[in-house]
Amino acid sequence: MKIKEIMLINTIIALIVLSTLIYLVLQGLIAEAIISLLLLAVIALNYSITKIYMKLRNLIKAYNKIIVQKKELKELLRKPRRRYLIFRVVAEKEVDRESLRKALLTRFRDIIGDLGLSQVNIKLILYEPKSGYGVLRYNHLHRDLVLLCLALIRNINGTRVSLIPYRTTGTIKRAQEILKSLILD
Amino acid sequence: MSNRGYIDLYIEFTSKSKQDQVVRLLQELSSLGYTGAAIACNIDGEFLDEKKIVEYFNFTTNLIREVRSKNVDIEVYHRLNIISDNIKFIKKVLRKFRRSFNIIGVNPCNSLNAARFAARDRRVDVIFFNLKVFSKFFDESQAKLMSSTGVFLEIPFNKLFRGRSLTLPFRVLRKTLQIAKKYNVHIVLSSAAHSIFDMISPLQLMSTLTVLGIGLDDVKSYLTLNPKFIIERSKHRMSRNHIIPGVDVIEGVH
Repeated sequence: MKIKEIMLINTIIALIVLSTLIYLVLQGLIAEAIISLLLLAVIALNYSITKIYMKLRNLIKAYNKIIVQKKELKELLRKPRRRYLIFRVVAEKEVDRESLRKALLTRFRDIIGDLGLSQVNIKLILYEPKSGYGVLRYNHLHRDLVLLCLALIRNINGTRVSLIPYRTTGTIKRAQEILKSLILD
Repeated sequence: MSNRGYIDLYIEFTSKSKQDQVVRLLQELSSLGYTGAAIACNIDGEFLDEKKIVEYFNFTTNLIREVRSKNVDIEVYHRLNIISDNIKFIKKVLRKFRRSFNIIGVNPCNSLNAARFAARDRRVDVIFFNLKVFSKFFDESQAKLMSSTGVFLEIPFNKLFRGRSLTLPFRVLRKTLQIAKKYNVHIVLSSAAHSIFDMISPLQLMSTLTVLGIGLDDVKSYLTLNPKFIIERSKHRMSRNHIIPGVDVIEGVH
């Protein structure tokens, strides 16, 4: 049962008890009137408790909402940090570093525009053409955009390619370590 | 098969498909975190090419054998795509092959009637549309029908993002997701890859929808729980104990 329904039922019962009380007083039945008066007090108490509970519940809800909003705001206001994405180019033919860099920039510009590109702050840090592994730097707030743009690069200079992300790291040193182990494998 | 494993419901099979290439594709998919992949055989037009289906089954049988011998940790499922605008033909294929495949997908081409029929038929598992007619056919009536019959809507990445322009695919996706959410239509994400160069990692597939504002948990279920549900439902329907939806034979009860 919802709280609003409980409140409505409470009010209806209170009205019935009140009318009974008036009737009993008019009839001169004082003892019975006292009992109904007590009943009315209990109902009033119940009513006030429910109201307090409702107020408290609303307060808790609002507090939780504020906490969530604060967290979101904090995440937005955080200093953009660099992330290093280790990816692999699966291609028909070997793709050189310059072509890959140009393809990345062109595709990113097509999808997110110049303004977006400046926010994402991408840079091809490392690339090993033989194995196809590379490291791409980006801003941590735009991870999904970077992944999507990589998925949408299908062709570099007429060569069919697929860019597959493997791992993301927070430091270039760690990225280099992973890259080394991947190339050795 | 773990709950967290991703399943790619659409890997395209063509008569030109070579086994070693598909095995390599499956190996790569497995390394990307996929635990299952459905190899799809396409039947299009109004002519039922049974030779192609025999060839497909031979191919997949050998493929499964090779995948197992190479210890690739991926399950291979059979899928049939009916690409036709002819309702009679769709009915005929469904009647003949529903029990032979794990997943049945329908592409109604340019026919609205075929789209409505596929949405109404419980034998169909997923429906996917061509980009040009996607937003035209996937309207509120289609969504209501699909929601009531439990037919899933498929978003095949490589089919949607085929051209250079991305405006239309994103506009279509935005509208589709709105309607699907309103009418509680279940969605499946798939790559629709036919070679290793079309392969997409699960994270990339998910990012397609997360950039449009869909929550990560929801998008994850489009790649994990929903495909798994389709396969399990299909397995259950194919079992001998299943009679009609809601009625099953329970053995061992006297």
